[in-house]
Amino acid sequence: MSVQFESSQKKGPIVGIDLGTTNSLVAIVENGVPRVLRSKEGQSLIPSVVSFADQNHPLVGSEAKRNKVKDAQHTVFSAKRLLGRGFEDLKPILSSLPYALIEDSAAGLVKVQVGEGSYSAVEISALILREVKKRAEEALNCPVAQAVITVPAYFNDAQRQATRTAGRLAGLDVLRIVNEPTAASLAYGLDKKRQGLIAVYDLGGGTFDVSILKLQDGIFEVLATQGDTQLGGDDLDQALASVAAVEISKVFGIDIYSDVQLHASLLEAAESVKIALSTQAEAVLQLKLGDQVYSRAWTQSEFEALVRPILDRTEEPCLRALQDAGLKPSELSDVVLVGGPSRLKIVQDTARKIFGKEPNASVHPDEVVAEGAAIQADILAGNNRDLLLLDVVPLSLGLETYGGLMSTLIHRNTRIPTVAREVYTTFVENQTAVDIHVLQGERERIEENRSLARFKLGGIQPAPAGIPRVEVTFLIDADGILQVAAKDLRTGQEQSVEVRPTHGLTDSEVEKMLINSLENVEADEAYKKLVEARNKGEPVVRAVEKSWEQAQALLPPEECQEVQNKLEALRTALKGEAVAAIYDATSDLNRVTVRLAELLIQDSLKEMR
Amino acid sequence: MDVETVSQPNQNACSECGRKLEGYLAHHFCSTCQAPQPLREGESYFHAFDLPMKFGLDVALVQKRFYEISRELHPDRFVSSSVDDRARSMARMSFLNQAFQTLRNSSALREYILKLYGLRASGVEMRAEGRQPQKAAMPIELAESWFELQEAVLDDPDQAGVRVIEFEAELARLKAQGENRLKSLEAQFDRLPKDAETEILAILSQMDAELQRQNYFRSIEKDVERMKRNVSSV
Repeated sequence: MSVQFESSQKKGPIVGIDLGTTNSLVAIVENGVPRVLRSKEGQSLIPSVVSFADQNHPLVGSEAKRNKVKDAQHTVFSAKRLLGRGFEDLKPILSSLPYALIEDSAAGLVKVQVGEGSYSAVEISALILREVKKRAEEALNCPVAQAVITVPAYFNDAQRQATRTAGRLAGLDVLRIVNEPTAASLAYGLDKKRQGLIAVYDLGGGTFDVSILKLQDGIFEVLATQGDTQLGGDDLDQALASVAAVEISKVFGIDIYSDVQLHASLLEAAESVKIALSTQAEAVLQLKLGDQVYSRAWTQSEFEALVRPILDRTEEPCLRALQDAGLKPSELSDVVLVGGPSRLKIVQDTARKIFGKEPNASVHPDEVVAEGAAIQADILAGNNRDLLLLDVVPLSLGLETYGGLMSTLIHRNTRIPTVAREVYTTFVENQTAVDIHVLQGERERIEENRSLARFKLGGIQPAPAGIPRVEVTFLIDADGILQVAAKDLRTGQEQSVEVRPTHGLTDSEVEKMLINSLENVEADEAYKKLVEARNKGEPVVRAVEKSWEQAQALLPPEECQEVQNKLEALRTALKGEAVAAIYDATSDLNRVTVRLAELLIQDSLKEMR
Repeated sequence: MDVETVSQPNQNACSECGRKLEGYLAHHFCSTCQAPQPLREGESYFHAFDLPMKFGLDVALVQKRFYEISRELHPDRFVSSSVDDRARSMARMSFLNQAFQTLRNSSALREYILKLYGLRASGVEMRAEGRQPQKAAMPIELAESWFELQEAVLDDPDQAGVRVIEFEAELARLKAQGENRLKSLEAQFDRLPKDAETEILAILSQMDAELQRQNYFRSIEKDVERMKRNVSSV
């Protein structure tokens, strides 16, 4: 035990990361208590937004979010919705995104086109995770290299792999991929006295999950999980936006969707209306259209009528999860709501209607998943042996069989890790390879399921048909990720199987990206610091410029000259790239304007009288 | 047949430190050096829970042991251990998960015991496309009335409703009878000493036949459901 503890100490702390569609968070457990790590300014949320205004120096988080409307063409958000997906899967949501998607047909990957460059969702997620890692390192004042990252429970194998790859690209050793609702249940049930059957209803920015768990003596056993990876708070914004788009086109004759900038502003306006309606009865959606303004009042009940059909889509997964768990709603002792949208009354109403029970709102909807991830990290570090998560695979795994049908090997809601074995033989004389097509999903026809990988099981010793015996092992590990191994039963020889994910990268491709990204890390970090410095300096310059006339009236000439000198010095520093010089010039200007600031305040107080 | 009886205590030694392994937890990992043990040749789901091979298992006990073993064996406990220990923990936990799923579900348990005694195909696939569901034989006592019912429905769908209901009742009666026979065969199996191979095989063959009949009843039930949708008077 002590050995484990030491080794984990040496590598630094293991953090828990909630990589969200809209926002990401990072947390850690200290003395058994989870704590979300905040920026110096006290922010816990890191917007999952990346701005490529400067192609070589992407910005992440709040900096990037400010560009979301200003520079919509170069700003990518909700990249999580693209993770592990093919171009075909995304066609339905293409028009709702202000940025352009292109197909990288070689890898079967979707990329976001930004200016000259294009980026896969994995790369964008890696940039976000790198920012998260930095947040943790700043808050903890030590290097962070190990993490637990959460994913929607209903994420398939490709989406999980993509998340793990993004973590590696960000320089993190991803010790475990944990399902978001399961993580939430850990934080909810940390208090060991909590026992019984609970449902976690997790409506995030872009995904919906529901998990049914049994809590007993510190064991968190997932009985069933269901979800919809294309349903979330974003859809509520989209609904508001599409009403506005129709009205704007009618009244002003403007096609919002053809203007990237307007589209982005509309989505932002819609989001603020949604958020406002979680606390107030009415809100106005306003959008500037050149010199004209579109303005539309929404009452809570109008909004609810609009989004009810979307939220009703959560009912079926909930009922299926209950059915898979073999439970009636009345057997649940608690229904826990997770995710930002759960602040909306209509979301609470929907959950209440489905489960026939007052939902529990005791957890922090934004922070509980990151807290749970941190608790799982603490368990993995060996610091907490009282708790244990037993999770399941959300989707059935199978093989293509005759007639284009899927034959299920591992059923959904099977506890993980789990293993299934198939013994293959040959069909014709001297056949040396067998094609294997692995699928994930609940439908009969292969086209309706997700194709995970196709591979050729080669290296079979030439022999008469039906004689070879090759055992293929399909293992789903504790991250819910598939591993394939093969063994010739006659020779006992293990065979390596290179599985190329249908929408993903092979290990060697990941390695290559890893090397490239490490080379960029230092350059990116330096640029980030420069931007931060400029963001400190520029507002000071603007403030002094604004009050320059008053300053000349209020200050003696020599002081005035001093201010002007320092102002000029800062302007010059801001044009350069020396971070320290910018900070020095900023504090110099701040120092010589202390008296000016006081005088300005007195002056404005006089005016008020 | 590689059915090892569970009645004898575990005589194995730890694969890592060589100390003797005792008790059902030690079956999975060494209590001295914590090392998860490799899966042993012929190890069954019953070994995993240190329970005798029988149908009438105490499900609450199975659940209790599942938690107790998982608590120590789960891969979460071996994240910073050696590669070998991690692989063994994963292999053993996968095995335990499958064992748990099988032992707590009566129909999975039946299939499993039949398989252990060689009454189920070992599952060699000709190719990936070679998987076909096996088709059971039609039970004689139902064959005649089933064909009559199909004819009646074809002749006059409006009048066939009563016949469908009668048939369903007969089907339900036969199913329940079969289930009772299965229960009694299970009880007989549980009472037999494990070295009474001839008697055991005789009982399991009867169970196999009953299970095939039950499969058939289920597929007929589905056909009847479909039929009911076409018969307006039901």
